[in-house]
Amino acid sequence: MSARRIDGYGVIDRSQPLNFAFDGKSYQGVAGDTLASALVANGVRIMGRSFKYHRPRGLWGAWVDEPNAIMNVNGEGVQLPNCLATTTYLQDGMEARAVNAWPSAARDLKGGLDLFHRWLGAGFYYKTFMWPDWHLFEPAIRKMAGLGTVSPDVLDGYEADQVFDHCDVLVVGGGAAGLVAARTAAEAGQNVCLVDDQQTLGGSLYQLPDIDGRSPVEWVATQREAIVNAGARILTKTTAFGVYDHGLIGLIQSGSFGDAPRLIRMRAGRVIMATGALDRPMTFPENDRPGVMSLSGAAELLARYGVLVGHRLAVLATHSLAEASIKLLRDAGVEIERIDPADGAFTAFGGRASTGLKQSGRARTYDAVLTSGGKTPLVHLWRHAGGKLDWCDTRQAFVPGKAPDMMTAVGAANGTFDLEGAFNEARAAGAGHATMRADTQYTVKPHWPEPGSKGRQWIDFQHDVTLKDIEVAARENYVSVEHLKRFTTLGMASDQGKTSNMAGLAAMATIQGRPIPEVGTTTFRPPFVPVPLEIYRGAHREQNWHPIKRLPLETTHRALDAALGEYGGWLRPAWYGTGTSSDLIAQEVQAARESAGLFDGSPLGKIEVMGPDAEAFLNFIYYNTIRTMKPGQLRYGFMLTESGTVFDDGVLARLGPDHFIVSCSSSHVDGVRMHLEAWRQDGNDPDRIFIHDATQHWATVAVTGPEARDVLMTLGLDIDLSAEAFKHMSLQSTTWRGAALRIARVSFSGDLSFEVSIRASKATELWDSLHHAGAPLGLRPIGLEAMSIMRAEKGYLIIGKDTDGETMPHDLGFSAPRDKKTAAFVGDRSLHCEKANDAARKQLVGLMSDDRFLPTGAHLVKDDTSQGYVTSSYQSPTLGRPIALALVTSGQSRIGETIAVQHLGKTQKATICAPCFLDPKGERLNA
Amino acid sequence: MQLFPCPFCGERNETEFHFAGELGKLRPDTAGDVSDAEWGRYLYTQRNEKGHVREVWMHMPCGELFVLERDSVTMAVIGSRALRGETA
Amino acid sequence: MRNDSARWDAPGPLRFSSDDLTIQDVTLPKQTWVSGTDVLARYRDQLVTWPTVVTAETYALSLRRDRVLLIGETDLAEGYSAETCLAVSDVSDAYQVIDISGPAAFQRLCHGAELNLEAHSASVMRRAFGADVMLYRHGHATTFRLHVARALMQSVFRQLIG
Repeated sequence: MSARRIDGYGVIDRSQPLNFAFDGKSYQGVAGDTLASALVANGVRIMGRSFKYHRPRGLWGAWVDEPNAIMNVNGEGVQLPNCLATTTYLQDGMEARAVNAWPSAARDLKGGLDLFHRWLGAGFYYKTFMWPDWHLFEPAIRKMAGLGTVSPDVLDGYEADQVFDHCDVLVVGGGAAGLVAARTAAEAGQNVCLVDDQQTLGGSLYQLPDIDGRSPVEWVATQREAIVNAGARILTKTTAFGVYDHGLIGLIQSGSFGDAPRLIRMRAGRVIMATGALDRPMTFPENDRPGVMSLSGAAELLARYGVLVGHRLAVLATHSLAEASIKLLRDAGVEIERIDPADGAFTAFGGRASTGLKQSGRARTYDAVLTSGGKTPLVHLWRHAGGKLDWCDTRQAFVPGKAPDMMTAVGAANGTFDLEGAFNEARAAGAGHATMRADTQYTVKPHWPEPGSKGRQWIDFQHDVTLKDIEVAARENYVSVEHLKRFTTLGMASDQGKTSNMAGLAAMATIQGRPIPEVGTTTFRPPFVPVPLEIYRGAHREQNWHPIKRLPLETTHRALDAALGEYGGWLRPAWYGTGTSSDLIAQEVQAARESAGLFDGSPLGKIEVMGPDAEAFLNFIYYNTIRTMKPGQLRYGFMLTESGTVFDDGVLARLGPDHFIVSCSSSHVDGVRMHLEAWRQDGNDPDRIFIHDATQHWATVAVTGPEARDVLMTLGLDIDLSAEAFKHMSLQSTTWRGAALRIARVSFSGDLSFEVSIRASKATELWDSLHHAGAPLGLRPIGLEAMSIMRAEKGYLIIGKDTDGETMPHDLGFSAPRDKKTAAFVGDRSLHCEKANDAARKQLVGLMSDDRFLPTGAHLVKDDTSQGYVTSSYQSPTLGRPIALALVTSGQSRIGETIAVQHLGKTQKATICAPCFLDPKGERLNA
Repeated sequence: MQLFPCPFCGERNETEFHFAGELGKLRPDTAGDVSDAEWGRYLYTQRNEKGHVREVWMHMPCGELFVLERDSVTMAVIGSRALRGETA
Repeated sequence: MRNDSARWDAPGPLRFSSDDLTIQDVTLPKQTWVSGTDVLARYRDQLVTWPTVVTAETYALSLRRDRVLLIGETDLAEGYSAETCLAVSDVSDAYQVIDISGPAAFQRLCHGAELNLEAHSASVMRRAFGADVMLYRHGHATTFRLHVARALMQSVFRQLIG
């Protein structure tokens, strides 16, 4: 137990102990710890198992670059898979378990898999499991693959907020450069937002002995205060995970472990990227042994958490910044041996209790081996935004090149590792000036992977990609980095190659004898760190997932015990009462056919079209001729698409010479409104046509049935409702109890019907009056199901149910305008193309069968070929037998033909008939 | 999430907009003779350009139909103007 | 065919109150759509845009290039008038109206729409919480008045109270 917590270091609160468990054992940490820092402080060396070979793994880094310490964590009643131990803040009572390991990371039963590594290299399963059939192996392989376990329980209350926000300047990263940039911009009067993913601002500043003579803690506090005083906002535990179009930055703000994080869609005028840089691993044999870890990670563990990874350490580093880290650790009393990579090939061994290093035949053991092959600037956001990268020979790294419009890189993220240079850049960027990357004091001796060298050398720790795998990929000609990535899965783990990509592409460059910049990088895509799906879902769940439209009469329907269901986006009564639904529906049909039914038709479209060109406009919009309509008349008609297919059907009312109401399908009002609005402004004179979609101002109550007139008379209206005075397909306006009333004599049931429209706030009064007056006459409320049956009995169609995406009006028996209308109308030319004239078009017909119900969707089959399908099918209470509508090839010329109806392997017979089963002469309708 | 400039309302989130078609498509006068080929071109032929495009969009909340010029590669918005007074 | 009544909460009152947020339903006297080529100019003095704070009882919401919503009594007749070249519809019941106030009001609204109090807009129409709405400030700089199409008000209200 050489790792331990020491006094005098860290920004933690030692007065607050926190109890937690890892792999079933209890430990204690303190407030401010991450799971990882607390485990290291407790001497835990093995924190995970590798993905493929189940090799024991220790900690690599101290923050987002960690590839190994991935855990299932239980806390505050929530279980989350694949938490990074280095970025999960410790909370009291947390229980963590290493993923991909059982019973524990230290004693993993699948550890033996590593013995077979020779046969498990890149591409092994593409090749190995080909014979006899991949699907035989797939279930077992899938079971072994994957990392954490998703909790089978629904996480009640784990709900993420989504919120829009905006600022002039977004500063990403609260380290030295970010703090200075934010302060400069805020003091210049800009609306600034500074985000940092850690709990405590300061980045890697705590590793420094002092800044301008002040302690890091003091210096950070001063900056923080100045930023806040200048009116800027600071969001901690907030990660900028992606840059999207037009200055939109995705921010994820974390709170307590049990609370889902919040998604902030931040629209920023400009972005200052101060995201810092990461240590790059060195590639050498057995470099994945526990205890081989990042030099700056070890320094950060000491500086932030007061945790020493050991007292006897080896350092393998190739760059000038290593000196400061070494000094920090030595000052804390650590014994450090520097190993020069140039002194000969070296290899790691051991790992469980200590970590060994062998070089030139000399073997020694240490508490940990700290390595750093150089610094890699974190340029993800830069690439999301479309910025270019330049290869810098001095730094042996990709650094920000040509900038995206709204972004500036400062500090280590820009390759400026020297503090003074970072401050200069930050001040310039904060003030809105362009920055020039200054010369650097930083030096690095490249130590890239050496293809062909001996031993197992890890490139991607999390996905178990070794140098050999890169060599295999090159041999098989997967030489493009994008192919290399997909063949080997290099950089495809949950860390997305933060530690592995550079080594991988450097290896490929060496194999091919090309310079690194020529090999290039793979694409950087959001999210920068894994984010829970909850943030994408936000409030779009349960009732808010797809908001349903509510009727003005909903409360009335509920009081009448209506069964409500979704119909075309509206919550509408399906039937009323409790009991067997099919019986209730049949009773409703019967009542409506014999006396009267009361139906809520409020969603029916009420789009007013007005103005001097209204008539000509509608004549162009409709398939039917509109010019001949007189005020007070209604006309049933179709709107077509330009392809000639039926877009909508409905009733058009003419109120006056320049005033019409388009009563389109209930589910289609928004679409029709947009269709009309688009044609109004495109190709017509919008100053002479005005479109008011007043649908939701009105409620519509339909009274249908032989007693409909008598029921309506009880309202005591001042209009003559007689058949002679108020003809089918006409409209009258009046008032009732001070409210305007529009009464349309129009029918969807096939019986005498009146559709009465009144302002929504008076709907209940109207409904109750009609219901009350009608009940003694046998009236009952009827739902959508009863109405659907009645309209099918009459052969009235529902667009989208009895038509499909190819149906033209003449397929439905409406061919007069196609033959006779001379004025131009939408879709007209398409009705005369070759396809429209095809004799084998599917046409709407009725189907009769003796007794058996014809399933909707069943195919009509002749000579083993589908001739069409059933679109609507019901047991008709009025006729006492099943009826159906269907779309059938050349249907209108096949009336009387018997055809096979095939469904789920069963076949029955049906006879094709005209699509009208009731009152073909319209005597009931015109009564 | 892009920001599109409605000529009347100003910049709004892309979720408020609906694509209506490429600019410059003239509807043949169907009161006269229109060949199958000409009608087919009108219905189905799109320029589908890469880079600078001129399109017709609708701003749904206010119903404005307008011309949007943008870059289909960089997603940069070049400008917008009302469709009124233009033949689209 | 199934009974989904229980899947959806029955409509409730449009009122909510917490430490930092108050929502109150509002009954307006009359709401009238008036469309015409020069309608914005005609109602110039009463015109409400974003982010205007309305103080009058009678005002005209600027909706689009050629349409306003008049709040308050009017003697305009419904339909189209060849004389005034205006199209008029009474839509008093088409929208339900709530006032949202309190320190959290603006932030709450930002959950459902990308709003910016510094960016002027000629129209108060927007899409918020998945619905077409009218949004402006009424009486006070932190009181927001929201008109929502009647059928979607329950949904918007649910989302507002979070």
